[in-house]
Amino acid sequence: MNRKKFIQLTASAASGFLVLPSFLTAQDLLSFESDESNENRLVFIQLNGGNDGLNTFIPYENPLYYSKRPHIGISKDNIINPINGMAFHPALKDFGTIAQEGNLTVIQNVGYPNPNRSHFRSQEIWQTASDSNQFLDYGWLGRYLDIQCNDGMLPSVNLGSIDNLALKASMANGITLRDVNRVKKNPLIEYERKLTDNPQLDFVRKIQQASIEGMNEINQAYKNAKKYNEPYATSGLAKNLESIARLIKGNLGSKVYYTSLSGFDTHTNQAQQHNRQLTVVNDAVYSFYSDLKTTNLLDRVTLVLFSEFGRRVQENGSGTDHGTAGPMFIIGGKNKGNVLGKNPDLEILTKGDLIYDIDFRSVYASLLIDKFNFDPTLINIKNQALKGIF
Amino acid sequence: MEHNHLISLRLGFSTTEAETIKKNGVADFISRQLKANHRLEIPDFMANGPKSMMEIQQLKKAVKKVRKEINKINFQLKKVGFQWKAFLIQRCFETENPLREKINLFFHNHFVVSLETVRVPYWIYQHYDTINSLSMGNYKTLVKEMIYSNALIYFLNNDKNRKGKINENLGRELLELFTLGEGHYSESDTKNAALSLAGLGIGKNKGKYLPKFKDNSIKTFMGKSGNFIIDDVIDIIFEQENTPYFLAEKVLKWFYYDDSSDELIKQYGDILKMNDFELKPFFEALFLTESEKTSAGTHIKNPLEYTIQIYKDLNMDPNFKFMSHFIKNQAMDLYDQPNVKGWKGGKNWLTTQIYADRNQFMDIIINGNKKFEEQLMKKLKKYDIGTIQFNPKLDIKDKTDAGSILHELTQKMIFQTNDDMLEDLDEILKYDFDPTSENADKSILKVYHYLAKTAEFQLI
Repeated sequence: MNRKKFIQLTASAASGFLVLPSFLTAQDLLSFESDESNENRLVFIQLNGGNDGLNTFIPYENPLYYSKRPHIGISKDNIINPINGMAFHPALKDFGTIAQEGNLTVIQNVGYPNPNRSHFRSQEIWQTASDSNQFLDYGWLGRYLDIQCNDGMLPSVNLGSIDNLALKASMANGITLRDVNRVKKNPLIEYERKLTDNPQLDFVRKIQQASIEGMNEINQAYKNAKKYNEPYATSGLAKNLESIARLIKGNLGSKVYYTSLSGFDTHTNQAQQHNRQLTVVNDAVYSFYSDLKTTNLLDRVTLVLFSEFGRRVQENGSGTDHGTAGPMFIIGGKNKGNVLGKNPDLEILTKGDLIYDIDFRSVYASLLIDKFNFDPTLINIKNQALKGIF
Repeated sequence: MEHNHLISLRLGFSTTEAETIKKNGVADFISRQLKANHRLEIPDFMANGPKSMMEIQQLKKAVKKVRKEINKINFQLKKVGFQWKAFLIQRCFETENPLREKINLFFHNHFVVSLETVRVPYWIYQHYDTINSLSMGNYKTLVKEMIYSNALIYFLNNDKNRKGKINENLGRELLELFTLGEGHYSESDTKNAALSLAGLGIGKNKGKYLPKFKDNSIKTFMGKSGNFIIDDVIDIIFEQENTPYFLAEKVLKWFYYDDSSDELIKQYGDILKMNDFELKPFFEALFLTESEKTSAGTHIKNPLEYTIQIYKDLNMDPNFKFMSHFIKNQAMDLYDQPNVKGWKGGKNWLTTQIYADRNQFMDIIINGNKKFEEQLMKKLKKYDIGTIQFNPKLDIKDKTDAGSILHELTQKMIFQTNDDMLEDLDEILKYDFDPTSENADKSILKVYHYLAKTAEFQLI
């Protein structure tokens, strides 16, 4: 009855551990046909630290912007792709290109009622889609995957060193990888899933299980993927997006992909630091976009960029303190390529911060309905879906 | 698992102290650890380096913007940082007071500063020194000293917090992460704490207020008003309801439970409050009471606990730089936490990748892999890492037969067994195993190998 299966994965363990990754051979196989091939995929980039929305998508025609930001305001001369009084930060030159090609939607003033200015709490709110005073154990995507993903597929892939709360599920837990290139084929013992009365032990066993099942699928997808010939940039974010692209091209069944980039908490020295981080974002996103476009997958893949909050309107000298609302960006997935929502109001503020206009959960609702044909109220997102993205 | 082993793991980093605990009792062990004069001598690599940002800038100025020379200085600083991390692991490994070192590491993950941002290794050393000398004193005193730490001031940008150009970073984290916890203060409190911090900048050995940047307006914090400096604000914080409970919860998490019950947090928070925030009686009561409990398997081992235990169990020569590198890859980079909140601990210590890496590490130790050792030494050569080799050797007290060996190892290594596991172990070390045979030690290592990869071994 209690017979255990010993899953023996092929190849030698250990040879590349910690050091030189033993790259999996990139075979140029035709991607195999499956029912999965027409399904949509969602990819998230979480910008950690509170991205300064006003210097990302800039209200360059509003004189208040320059009077409140005498040192860090971005000059009109350098902005990218002006449209209706708003334009991109100079580092986001390729966002301009994507917008001109009609594949970028900007959603302005996204936030939530009673905003919290703590990084950690505000990230939790975004990741669980909770109210500001509500604490939830599972992530919004995790809750969705719990209901929708019961076919034994790997539900989600997170590229990073620690798990992301947004993907935390009661059953449909995905995989967290620091680097797909380093996935090792490592013999492990599979336990039968039996619930003990110790939640910590159960958790460790599930992780153990996932590390076998998930790695197998990932190896397979990696092998199947069509190669993209242009090199990605060298940043960690670019590597992560390249891996995600590769897994999607290799027909991995996972519906949701997640990664993040830190370095947006620009209390000081914002001009340089923000420019550096946005350059990383621009280069990585543009490679990812071009990769998917070349392989005709852009319509199936929706990339979402967000941050836990924007930053204070008034600068503090060389930087900005924690704020509230900010823009979200949607790329691909047949979006309509518009700028949604009003331009930020720099005059009427609460505690020096922007007043949000669009609830982030209404964006989540639209993603679930339009991309996954899923009713968001099933996971307790009650906001009306935002119209006009897709 | 034998109770003494469990206590040794919880109050230290390995089962090394189990014998002492068994002989002299838990109370004696805890009391000696907390009373000990736990010294920190400045290591040479730190004593001989620059002591401030200014000294570093002068060094760079002296080489007149020659890129190559500046890179050398930067590399040297990075190397000192790496040596510092290895030095801390060495302390944990060699100390006679592992409990004190574990408390120090707790506070280093409470008042987070990172080498990568601070870039003056000496300031980081001072930060640790302050923790080490005050960790058995009063919590309020510790918070006050920490706020004046150059490392913390620089890490949270308070050197840029000036009258008329308020930077809220340090003020906010003081409330959110060091004392009260999110939800126990208002935005206006944050703002006023930041105002009270305006002008507190870098000083010679600790931070100091610069009069021209100080804000002398009347601040209102938690309903009290005055021209406060940050010491006044901290006094008010320590009158607030949640302050003792916030610390109690984090201590319970670091030592015992990934999820603590509200009753337990209340129980120990009350003790901290009753003792006017004196840390020694608080720790003593907490460790004593918890040591009486027999429940186990409530806490996922952090990478340092995992690594030191294996090194000690297997009598391997420690290479502290390698260990530092390994735990960094396990998402525990000492004095370089991913963000100001520090390591979250608990379930965050294990991802599929980290678990796979732990198991692979065991494979390499037990099966050996010369190529790996060489590659790693080559990669880390520029940090003078020395040789890496494992040569595992197990001490087994009772080698009578397979049964006695299996009993000893399971009692030492894992908090509980189950039928499947016992069945497997009987396969690995069969009942007719001959402990005197030539290959006996290798076979016994296989038992260790198997047990160290179980889910149970990941827990304390």
